[in-house]
Amino acid sequence: MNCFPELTYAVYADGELPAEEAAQVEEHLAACLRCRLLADSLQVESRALQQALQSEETASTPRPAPLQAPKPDNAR
Amino acid sequence: MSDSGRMDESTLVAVVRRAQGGDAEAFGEIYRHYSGRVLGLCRRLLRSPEAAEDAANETFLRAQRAIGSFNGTVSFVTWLLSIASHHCLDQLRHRTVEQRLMEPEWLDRQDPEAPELTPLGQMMAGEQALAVRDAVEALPDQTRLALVLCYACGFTYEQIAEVMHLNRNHVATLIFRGKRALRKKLARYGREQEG
Repeated sequence: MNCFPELTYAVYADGELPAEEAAQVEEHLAACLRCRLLADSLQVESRALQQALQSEETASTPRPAPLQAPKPDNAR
Repeated sequence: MSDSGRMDESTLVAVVRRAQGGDAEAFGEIYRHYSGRVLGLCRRLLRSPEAAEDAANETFLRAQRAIGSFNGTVSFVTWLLSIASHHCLDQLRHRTVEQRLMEPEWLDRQDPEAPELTPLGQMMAGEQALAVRDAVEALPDQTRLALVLCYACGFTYEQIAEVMHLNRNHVATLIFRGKRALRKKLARYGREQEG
């Protein structure tokens, strides 16, 4: 089986590949060391990005917004 | 209270229902719980602490007005962050041409070279998280938004596509190119640290 494009492995690393295609990728990864290393590095990268970007998520809170009484009938 | 502590699902559902029924205190609870997360998103998208605070506040005002329309087809946090994303996108669209011209252009250039195989993800750990965040902030608007929604907010490609009015493949490509740009930027950062 031919190697997949890097974009496919990147989408796979994010868990966004449809199941059938993911199964084909996994079959290939089991047989191709080069692609397995690439897919592994992309998964490390995605996890590290999550950690780096989520670490600041709760750093601070904005000043209180001027909250108004809710108007449930006024839905968008 | 920030949103550092997680609100369990059943509590959240109850609080949202109360807020939908007009309970201002319940909405205040939502605000306290999610304000940090909304602010974090706005800050990354707008790159200005002041604009981000305004955007976060505007997000909650819009959410309060629209909470009656929340029907649970997506999670509440996804719904809330979508409102923030839409508002930030509007803000970015309205920025002046002059501001846009000052944004770095090097990231817009596409590199036809094969990407490095080095696991740069390992470089992104620990104290270098700051370098990663800086690099993300320097990305073009659309790319930054896609990456932030994906990795900071945990949106699926489908949800990002919905927020950004793009198709799913376009989102995948944006994220892919964004990470390639980050790799180059961070590889340069790594060499500077070594040198």
